[in-house]
Amino acid sequence: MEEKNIANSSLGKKVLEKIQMQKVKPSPRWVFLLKNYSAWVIGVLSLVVGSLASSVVFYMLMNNDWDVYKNVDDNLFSFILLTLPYFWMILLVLLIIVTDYNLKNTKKGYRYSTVIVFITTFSVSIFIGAILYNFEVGRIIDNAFADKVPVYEAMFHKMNHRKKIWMNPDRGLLIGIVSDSENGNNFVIKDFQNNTWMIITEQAEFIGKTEMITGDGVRIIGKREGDNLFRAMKIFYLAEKRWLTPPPDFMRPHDFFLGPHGHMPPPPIQ
Amino acid sequence: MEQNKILEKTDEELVDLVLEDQEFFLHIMERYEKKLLSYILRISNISFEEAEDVLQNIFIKVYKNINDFDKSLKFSSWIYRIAHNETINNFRKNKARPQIIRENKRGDDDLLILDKIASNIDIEKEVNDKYLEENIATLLEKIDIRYREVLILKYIEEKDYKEISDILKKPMGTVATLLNRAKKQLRTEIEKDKRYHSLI
Repeated sequence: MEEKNIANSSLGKKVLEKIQMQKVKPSPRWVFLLKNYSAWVIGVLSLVVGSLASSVVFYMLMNNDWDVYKNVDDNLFSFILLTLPYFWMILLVLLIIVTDYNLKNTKKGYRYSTVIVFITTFSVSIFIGAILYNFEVGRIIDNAFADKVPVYEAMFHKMNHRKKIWMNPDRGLLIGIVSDSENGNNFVIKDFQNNTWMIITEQAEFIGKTEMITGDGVRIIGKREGDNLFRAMKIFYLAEKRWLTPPPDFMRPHDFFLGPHGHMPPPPIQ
Repeated sequence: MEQNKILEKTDEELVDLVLEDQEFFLHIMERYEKKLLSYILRISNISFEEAEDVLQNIFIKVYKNINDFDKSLKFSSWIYRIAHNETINNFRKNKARPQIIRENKRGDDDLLILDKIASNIDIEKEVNDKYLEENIATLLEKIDIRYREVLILKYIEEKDYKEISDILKKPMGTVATLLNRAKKQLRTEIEKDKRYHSLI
């Protein structure tokens, strides 16, 4: 036993000598506490930002002009594929991965399986995102990015994307600003390409406002009846001022598939 | 402090003493030197001298990180975790080097491995004790290191699922999966080896 202790302690003594020679000291406790708290803070922050991203996803999905998809693409499935908010969805997934990584690096986080952490993080992000969406947070974030980040405005901003979809008279969609409202019930608009259109309103349903005046923004569903004539079925008043500025010319990823006017080519004339 | 009183101290109490006086670290090293050395040698295919070097690095790391020891964990799980990480790092660094062929001395330890693993991997009756006795160490070295380490932790180090989970920092469900795959892979190696020997 004594021999064993002597033999065993030689390695121990070597280690102790090394520790003393190299002046090795135990790292202070606050270093480990800081590491652990940082992992928690980053994990929770990613979850919060993920929730904000999911509120934008909700906003974009709820304002995707589902009711006029047939005017954009005859196939609902391809319309969905082309209009999903990929930027925010990819960002949401990346943030969930960051949350998972940081939670796994906390003292006890490794005990939970990746699947459970993913599902929990995803569900919490979606739940909080839905609440934030109801408080218009998604729209505010989308507009704020459009104001501050030119590339975002050109490529991902929901409203610009929607404007391009509505610049589509051959498929029955029109958007513009009222330039003359003194034509009885009818009025004249100028679209974002500076074309002038006479809008016939006798069969139209007005939504948001019943009488348009000069300077009002409108979206119209109807049918083109001539070079500058459009018969309206539904007229939407555009209260938000952002609708009144033309979208940038920058090509978006969607445009490669939808064409520069944000729609599939019109069906062949029969 | 008298030797007897030190022997009565738990690992966790010794840790508190180490923070007051460095010399108490010797007693922690004495308690774990032999266990960790066998663990390093079983996991990685390195020489005894290299294993001792790895062990020294492990103990220095343990000392440096002693303030990180969380008392809600068993100290043995914590020190095995550091040993595991250091051994794997060393194994990965040396993977490219020519493998050491250690003299396969069959002693009590190999019979211990044989007894514990063989009864748990559900092998065919035709595979007899003598075959396993001669080949178990070689067969273990053939399987993936991730599987080898769980087999060794479970059947040699006699750690339970929670301890293995704390050592490897993986969920208990993952530990159970790794163990099943380890047994499967070991069975496959035994079958391959049997077929090879029947052909030559």
